[in-house]
Amino acid sequence: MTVSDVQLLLTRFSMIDLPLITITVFAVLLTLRLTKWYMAWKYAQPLGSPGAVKGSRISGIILNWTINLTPPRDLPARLEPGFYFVGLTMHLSFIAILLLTKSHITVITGWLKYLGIPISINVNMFLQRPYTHIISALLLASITVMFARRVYHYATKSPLRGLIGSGEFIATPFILVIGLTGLLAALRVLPEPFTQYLVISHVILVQLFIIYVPASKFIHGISAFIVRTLSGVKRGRLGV
Amino acid sequence: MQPQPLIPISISGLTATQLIQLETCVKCGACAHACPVYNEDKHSFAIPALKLSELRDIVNRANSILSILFPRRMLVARGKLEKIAKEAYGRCTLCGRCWVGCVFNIDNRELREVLRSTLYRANLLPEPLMKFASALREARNPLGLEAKRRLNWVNKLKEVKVGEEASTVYFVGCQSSLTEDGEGIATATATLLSLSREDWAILGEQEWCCGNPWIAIGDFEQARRHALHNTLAIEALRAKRVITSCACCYQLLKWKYPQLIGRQPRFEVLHTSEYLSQRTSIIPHGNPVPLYKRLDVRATYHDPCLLARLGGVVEEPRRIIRGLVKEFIEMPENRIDTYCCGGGGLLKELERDLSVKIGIRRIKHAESVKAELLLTACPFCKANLAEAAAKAGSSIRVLDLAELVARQAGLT
Repeated sequence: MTVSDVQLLLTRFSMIDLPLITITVFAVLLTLRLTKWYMAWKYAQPLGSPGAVKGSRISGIILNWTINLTPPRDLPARLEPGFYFVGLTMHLSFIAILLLTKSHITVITGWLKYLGIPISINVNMFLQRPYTHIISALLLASITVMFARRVYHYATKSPLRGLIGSGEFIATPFILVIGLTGLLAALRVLPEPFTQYLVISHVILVQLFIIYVPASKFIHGISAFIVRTLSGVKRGRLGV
Repeated sequence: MQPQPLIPISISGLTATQLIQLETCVKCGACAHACPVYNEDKHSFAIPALKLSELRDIVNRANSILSILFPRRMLVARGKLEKIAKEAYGRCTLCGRCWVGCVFNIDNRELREVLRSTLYRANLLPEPLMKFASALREARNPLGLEAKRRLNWVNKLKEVKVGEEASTVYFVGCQSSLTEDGEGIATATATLLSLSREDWAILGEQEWCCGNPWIAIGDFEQARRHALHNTLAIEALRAKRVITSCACCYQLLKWKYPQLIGRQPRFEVLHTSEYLSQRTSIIPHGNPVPLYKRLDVRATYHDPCLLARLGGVVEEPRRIIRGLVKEFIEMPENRIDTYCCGGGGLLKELERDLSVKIGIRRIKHAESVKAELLLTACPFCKANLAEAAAKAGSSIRVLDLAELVARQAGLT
């Protein structure tokens, strides 16, 4: 078996066979998680009587996703501004790299076509280098700082150490490695065929990450939207 | 060493929304910095998110497929649960600051109530709270006093309708009707109601505690019983409106009673500050009341957590105060971000020193803006802040809003 055969085999596995496994496992785990949530569903009287409601629920949701997230209104932003801005950078750059870059949109549309979902997008309107590289660097830097914060609390035996479980030392480095392989592959810092191996590693790691999402704290990528929206409803009702 | 007895643990009352919140926490620790208890007691167990992990652990044990296959998973060592109970009941004032301090807005306060309820049903209520709960169960007030004592403050006033039909019911609350410190608030509110020519009455001996301490203990059934009793008692007087001067009573009557009794009560609920801000004839803007000059003092206002953050009453008290004092200044941590006075969540019953320490920090906030008068709108906040001011040797005066209005109107 030649090097190009291995390359071909790995490429085929990571891009054609593995996605099917990834999507199946992801769907099963996510269904289990959603079923667990659904099982706990029960009817409860809403907070306060209809006449008591002080504000609009819709405006509560809108405010909770806009003004209430800004530093003058957001309490975490005022209490720990460094943490707020690094966290914000990390999340925004993660979303941007995933949904605003040409390379990733090409892959996502490819996956959708693979699943039989027809989609037609002009990928050239999305961000390309050097912006992709800048965003990647921002993402990596912010994840590193957030990880360092956790390590610092752990090492200095601060009271916040209680919050840091062993899972933290798997989850964050996991994303860090994904980001790093992606950036290094994009920058082509290594000669061929190593760059191709980086791409393959990146694709495999991303799929492992997708499988890991429903079973880990990364579920907050989905549930945070539900929680903050419902909190907006509550704040809307209370008028705060 | 003898093996510890195992206790079966089960969760009930956890809604889907709460479960999603529970599983959304990423343990970033943002809530720790928002927590007034953690600020005084830098201990892991004071971090709200850590309590969530304990609850999540219990939920995972009690509600997982594995527990159906292996029921022993639902058994937890008594010692471990006792330790969790000690921390779940202590080191929290249920102020809800972790809710707005959380980047996702996870309502840690409600989840803490579920945790307490779980532990309560497993008979793990800490010893000091057992006495408190039994007094509350027997006397229907947290002070364990006879119901007729609720009328002590009334005797000092003329013509108060007790248990008679009226369009407005003044829900006095236990702290205002049963403690000497709170009586001033009850008297001031009653006087203001009479002055407004309001057709009002009180429930008298028929008034039970609003049920807030039961929620803090974790006995939702008792809370429901109190809610139902008070609702029926108020409705029996054909009242269209309930006014209360207590932030805890307000939050429960207005926001929680429909959830507890499963229907909408047939009355509107107002806090004294909301009522007074609607009555322009009492506050100086209109004023047929012989108001003396504005109080020449630099005043600030402490938002009670259950009135502002969890009750939605933020601007009304400020509107009144601005008309009554010469200089009104905001202190740090106000409105929805208000800092706890330390008097809630039964912390005072378990860790009095910690409770007062939180109060002292709030007094320092007031001192930082050079306030001479600290106003609030809850008898519990008033009591705790006054105690904290005395302990800290501060010259700051603590008054309830109703007391200030009555004083400025020359009524007391």
